Formats: sequence, C-alpha cells, structure tokens
Amino acid sequence: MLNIFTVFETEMKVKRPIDDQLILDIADGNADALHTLYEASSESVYGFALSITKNSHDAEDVLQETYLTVYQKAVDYKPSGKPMAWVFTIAKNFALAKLKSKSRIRLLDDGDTELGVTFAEIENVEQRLVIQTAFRILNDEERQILMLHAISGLKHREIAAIMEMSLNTVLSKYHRAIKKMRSELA
Amino acid sequence: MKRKNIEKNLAAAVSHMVPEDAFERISLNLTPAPVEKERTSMKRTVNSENKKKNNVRKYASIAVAACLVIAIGIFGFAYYDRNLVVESVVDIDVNPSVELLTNKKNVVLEVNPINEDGKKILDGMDLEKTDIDVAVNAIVGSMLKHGYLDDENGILVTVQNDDEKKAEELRNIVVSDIDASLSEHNASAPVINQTLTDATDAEAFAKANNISVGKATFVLNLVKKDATLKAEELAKLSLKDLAGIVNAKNIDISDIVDYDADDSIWENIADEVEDVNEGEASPGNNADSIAPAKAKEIALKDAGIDASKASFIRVEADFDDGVKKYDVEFVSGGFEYEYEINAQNGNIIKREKEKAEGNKNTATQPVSKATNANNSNSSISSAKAKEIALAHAGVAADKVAYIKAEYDYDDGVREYEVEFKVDGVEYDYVLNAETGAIISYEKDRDYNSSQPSNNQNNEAVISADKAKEIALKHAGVAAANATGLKAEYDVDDGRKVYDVEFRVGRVEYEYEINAVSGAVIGYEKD
Repeated sequence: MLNIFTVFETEMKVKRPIDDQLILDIADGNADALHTLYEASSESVYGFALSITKNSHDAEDVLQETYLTVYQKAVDYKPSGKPMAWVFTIAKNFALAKLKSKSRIRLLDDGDTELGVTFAEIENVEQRLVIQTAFRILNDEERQILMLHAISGLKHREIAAIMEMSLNTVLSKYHRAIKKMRSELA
Repeated sequence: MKRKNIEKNLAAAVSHMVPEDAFERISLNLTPAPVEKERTSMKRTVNSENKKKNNVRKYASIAVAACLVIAIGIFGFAYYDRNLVVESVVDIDVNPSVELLTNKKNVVLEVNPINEDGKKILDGMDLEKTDIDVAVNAIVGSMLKHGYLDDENGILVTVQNDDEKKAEELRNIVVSDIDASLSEHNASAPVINQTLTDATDAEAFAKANNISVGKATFVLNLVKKDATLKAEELAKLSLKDLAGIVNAKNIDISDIVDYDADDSIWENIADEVEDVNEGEASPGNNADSIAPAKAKEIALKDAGIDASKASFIRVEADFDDGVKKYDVEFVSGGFEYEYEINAQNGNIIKREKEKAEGNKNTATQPVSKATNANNSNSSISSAKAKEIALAHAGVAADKVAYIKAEYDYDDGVREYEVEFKVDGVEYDYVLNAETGAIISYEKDRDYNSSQPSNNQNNEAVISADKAKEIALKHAGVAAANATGLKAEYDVDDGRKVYDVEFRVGRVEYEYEINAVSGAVIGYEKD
C-alpha cells in the first residue's frame, strides 16, 4: 500500500501524494521529496527485493541502490502518472542483477538457492510464520506477485506490467499463491 | 487464514525488516544528478572488419532504400562507486536510430528508437533486461526480416565509453554477436565499428538529423577530411553511398576507421555495387520468419480450436539460443494453452495445456465504475469515515471495543480503511476517502477472543450455483457478463463459506458467502 499512515481520531496529517510532481521535485535535487517517496515506498521496495533475492543483505543493498538511482535518474523520468511502477522497475533490475551475480558464484558450490534470511527479527509469531511460509512453499514468481500485492497494494494489472507478464498470468499465479498459503496455514 | 490476513501479515512482517537507518545511509551517498551526460574525452579507436560470412551471395541485389547503420554507443558516466548501479548507457541506432542503455554488466536497461525505421525494427520486441548479445541478436534478426541488411548495406557499430578498455571489450562483444547472428541466418553484411571521441558535437548533429551518433561521427569526420562535403547531405545517404563518395573522392579514411587495406569494407561494398550493376541480382533466399498470425494459426490448428473460440493472451517473438520463436498463449474452453513455435519453419517446439484458473479472458466488457470521480482533493475526515462504516454495519459507536481509521493512498485513490470490533466481531471497511463510498467490507468473527462461535455444523448448505447467484446479484452483474465464474466451498475457521470469484472485463470480484445463510460476508473488487 502506498503512502500508508495511521490516523487516530480525527486528526489527519496532510501528506503529499506519490505522483509525477514528487519525482520532478526529486529531479530538482529535493532530498525531502526523496524522503517522502522513501517513507511511502521503502517497505514495498524492500519486500519486493527480498522476494527476488531471498537474502536480507541483498534486499538492503537493493533498497539503497534503488533510491540512489531514483535520485540520480529522476531527471530522466518521463511523467506517466506511474511513479511507483518506475521505482519498482529500478528495484527489480537491481535485484535481478544481484541474483545473477550470485548465481554465477553459486555455480562453484553446489548449493541450491538457500535462504539468506531468517526472519528472526520479526517478533510477532503469526507474521513470522506467514512470511516464512511464503518463502518456503511459493515459487519465485508466486512469491514476488504475492509480496507486491500484499505490501505495495498495486493492482494486478500494474503488477503484470512490472513483472512483464500478462494480466491473466499474474492473476492465476496470485491465486495459486493464495491457495497454497491458505492450505498451508489452515 | 484468510487472504486478507495473509497479506496483512506479510506486509507487517516486512515492515519490521527494513533497517531503520537505511535512509540515513542513502542520504550520505546521494550525489547530485548529472547536469548533462558526460560524453567528453572519449577515445577514438576505429576499426573496420568485413563480416562476409559466406560466398554464396544470398543477399546480393535489390536497391534497398534504407541504409543500415547500427551504432552502439556506450556512454559511460560514473554514478557512484557501486557495482550494480547503472554505469553506462548503450545506444543502438538503425538507420532510423535505436539507442540502448546498458549497465556495467552489459545488460540492456532501456531501448529507445530514434526514428521511424528504428521503431519498425524494434516493433514488438522487449529487449529490456536482456543481455547485450541477446539484444543484438534480436535486432539483427529483425533487420534481416525487414530487409535492411544485405551484403551491400553495412552495419556501423559505434561504442562510446570513457574507459577505453571497456569500450574495446564491449565493441568486440557486439561485433562477434553480430557475426554469430549473421551466420545463423546465413546472411552477411559488412560491419564497421568505431569507438568515439568527443561525442558532444556528434550527438547534437545526430539528433538534428535523425541518425545515430555513430553515423553522425563518421559523417562529421568525413566532412573534416573534405570541406566540399556537406554534413547534412551526407547524413541522408546510406552507408553504401557514403562508401561511394569515399571512393570517388579518394578520401583516405584510414585514420577515422580502423582500416584494413586487404579486406576493407569499402572494397567489398564497391564489389557489391558492381555486382548489382552487372545485374547479378538474385531473389535471395530470405531467412524471413513466419508472421505472428501464422504462428497463431499453427497453434490453434494443433490444439484443434477454432479461432473464434480462443482468446489470445499474447503472441510474442522471442529468441532462444539464437533461434527465433513465437510464444503463443491463449485461453479456450477453460484451458490455457501455451505454445512455442519455431519462427523459421513453423515447427512446434513446445505445447502446454493447463486448466485456466478461472480467468478466462473471453468477453471483455468494460465495467463502469460506480464511484463518481470527484476531482476535488477534499477528503472526508477519519471521523466521518468511521461514522459511515458504523452506520453501514448498524453498530452504535458506544458499543465498539476499538476503532481505527487508516488513510491509504492506493493507486491514485484516497481510501480509508476502517476497522472496528463489536462483541468479538471484526469489521473491516474500505471507503473512498473523497466520496465516502464503501469500496469493500468484510465481517469476521475474531476467534482469538473468548466469544463463542456459532456452531453451524448441522445446518444445510446452499448450492454453489446459489452462492454464485447471490454474489452476482450483489455486484449487480448479469451472469452473461461475468467470466471465469466459480464458487469454491471452504470451511474457514469452522465457518462454512463459498469463495465466489468472477471477472467483468478487467475487474476482478471476490466474494465470501456464508454457505448456510447465503449472507455476503465480504467482497472485494480489484
């Protein structure tokens, strides 16, 4: 979900939306604008990166590289009304590059794609169980789609664009993921 | 566990994982955006090479209107010293020009056609995130297919990079890729390649004349050699014609291209020109691939399905180990079919059939959104959102154990997510923050509380058809307009429910229906 913030009682903080203008401000070198974007999207970016790299250190690197690149490349952003899709695409490229450089190394030892993340920092048992399950039973695409949907709140068709899949493919993978998760967690 | 809870738990879990000081560290590493891409101080090394692959002149012939130039420029501009950060930009131009941006690992990040021909060449290809060799192979294949490449029309490869070694390296990769790709297609074409210096002028000139930076550089260098030549005129000429001028004027280009006197591209080009003049033109065995429509036809025929019954998801050209193929995907009769078809001979490489997951894409009926798009930025207050939700649930505010309203900006729509609990029952509403309209709601007994649950074990269950009917009626959708309609019986936390799903056009509906009472427990529209 983009730009989530909790409002108790009537007071509502006015927060600027994540839109093209925000990216244009970042392009002007406005670090506050970058911070706004970061606050609104870092969890989604991290979650997405984690779902690809399956490694918390890598996900952290991707997180940093993504926002550094956003800051650097905001001048090249073509206003399209889809700033988040742009950010995710950058994150995806970095995550895939990470994965690729790793897989090259991995050829040397025989190991399968072992998990580089323990989720030990998550105190809530239920949350930990759910995310561990997602990483244990889902295949890469199912996990990436589910994470994108769960954390970013992007629509399926937006996810389809980011994942470079057809809407139908995304939908069926998403439902398969949910079904697997539900039966595992039943 | 319910879908919503799965997603909530995932989101919450991740929120605990993002390192708190991450933004601080990002801030420390911020470097101001480059005012202009640094393209200065580039080293020029030029070499030319004849890529004649075989002596059978399959391509000799035909005055091809378009000249073909591929220039690949690598503009290295250092961002920050990080391995994975975008380091270079790769431009690919085809007479119309194509610009490729690549990163340090030679992965194509972006492909931009510079002119109309470039667009034609790139049509339908998605080369982003591919390795440079895959991209080059695809582009060469497409150029052959579109008739831009033959023995007479050369390929100009231009590589720009601050780092001479890196430029050299990449240039070699690209040249050998072109080589491989040409031989694969039994085709040949001369390849000239150069690395650029001082690209700033060339870049502006390229832009102004709709040509690649590589060609622009070559043209500008030629003009320097011979003042009677006009750069703007030369820019319009094909490589072949340029070669003709070089020959006619006897311009020594050995210092602007990497010149090999024994096997120079220009000699070869001249030979070709002569050949054509002597009328040696032959129709040529073209390595043309079948049309996408033909691929569709083959797949449908194999599946034994009438075209009118199939709804196509995608038909995409793809290169696999250098072989061009089509990925054809379609849905028919509740099955999803996936074919891979060799684009050269139409052979089926792979076929797959699987049950579509209720996502038939047959009828595409636009659904009119009920929300009135009020363009004002005004949002209702969270108190108002709570009020609306409570009123809808028929719950008095003083009966509520806890309530919270969360403001959410979802895909350009301002929403409130209102949650409250009454007597162990959890309510979950999503409201449009601008109009106050209820987007979705869900009612869920909280089994963590001590509240006893209703035992419905001995009660009769409604039929799946009935559940579908209830959901459709609630959504105001005619059964004929819904696709992928299915109802699944489920016992969720001891409750008997039907999960009903269907789609109208691109909008997906999901209902949870109490299987005993037929009441709508929750629904979601996406």
